[in-house]
Formats: sequence, structure tokens, C-alpha cells
Amino acid sequence: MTRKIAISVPDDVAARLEREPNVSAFVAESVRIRMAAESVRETMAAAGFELTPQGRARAAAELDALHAGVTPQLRREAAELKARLRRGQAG
Amino acid sequence: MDPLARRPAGIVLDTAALLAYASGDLKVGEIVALLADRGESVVIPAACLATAYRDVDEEGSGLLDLIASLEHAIVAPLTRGHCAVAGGWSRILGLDTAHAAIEAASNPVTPLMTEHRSLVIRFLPKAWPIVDV
Repeated sequence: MTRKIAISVPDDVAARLEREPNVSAFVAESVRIRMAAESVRETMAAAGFELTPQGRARAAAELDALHAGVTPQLRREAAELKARLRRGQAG
Repeated sequence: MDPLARRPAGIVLDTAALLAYASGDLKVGEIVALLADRGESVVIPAACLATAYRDVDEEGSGLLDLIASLEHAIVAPLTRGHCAVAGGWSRILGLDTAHAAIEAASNPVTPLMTEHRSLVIRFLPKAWPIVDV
């Protein structure tokens, strides 16, 4: 079931949405990801994990640094390894 | 198809990472929560999850139940197509870490969280992104 709603968004968000062929689907998926993230944080907090903005920032910095270190050469090596895995030949 | 099922892989957790999480390690917890924020998935190789269950107490078992049930967690099976490679790699890595390395390699270039960096890079490219437990 769906409902039609009218919303107001900042200009930059509107510009981004204008590039989407299906704005409703794009917005719904984005909100669902946000809802899932909220659920994950609530679940983990209930299990005793004291998540903090500082901890989030540390985790983001570590992962972002790793991604920044991914070179075209590594991507080529990774693609070759994946192809060998598919053939069962990555011994 | 559920759009959440199309999430890109954000990290692969090996047994050591799962055990750290199951003991309440906040670093793992923050990464797991961050990836949910980013719309990415946490890949849990089934061999690692099984090995972690072997090594935890009741409280840790409950936390493993929890992480495996999170909306952005994917428990990856060890498939027939990977068995030959897993068998070969397991001579050095053990079956669980071999499965974790295979999952990372199957989702290039997904970071792998492990305590076996020096062993894993005998099979993955040396510059592979690794988060030390």
C-alpha cells in the first residue's frame, strides 16, 4: 500500500531528486535504509553497546582511510583473484 | 527484490572479529552500526559464525544471534564452487578464516576484519584493506 504525500526539500536535494527516473522509489529506499540503521542502533544499544558519535567518527575514519588506499592496481588484482575464484583456481 | 538485499558489502568479519564483538568490543560494534548508516552490509561467513559459536558462552551466543539477525547482516554460506579453494587455503588459514578471505575476494574490494593479517595476505593481494581486530 502507498500514500501520496507532499514534502519540501532544500534546493540541492531537489536537484538530486530531479536526476531520478522514479523519485518515489528513490526516496522510499533511502528512508528504509535510514529506518534500518535506526533499528540496528536501537538493537545494539539494547544489547549493551554504548555507541557514541566519537566511536562512529573513529570507525568512519578507519574505513574511509582503507577505501582511500584502494588503487587501480589493487582493483585489477582483486578482479583477477575473483575470476580465479569463480574457476576454483585460486590455490 | 528487497532494496536492502542489494546493499553493497561493507566489511567481512572473521571469527576473531565475531569473538571480539561477542565479548562486547565497541570497535566492532561501531563499524557494524556505521555500515547500517551507510546502507552497506556486514558479511558474516558461515564457517566463521559456526566457529565463533563454538567458542562463546551463553551471553556471547546471544550476541552472535543478534548480529546474524541484523537487517544489514548477510550470513554467507560456503558454496560448492568455493570448496576446492577453501580446502587449499584452509591448510594455512583454517577453514573459517579461509572462508572469510574467500568472501572478501568475492566482493572486491571489501575490507576484511581479522587478526590474521600476515596469513591472509598470502592469499589476497598484499594491499587488501584489512581492519585488525
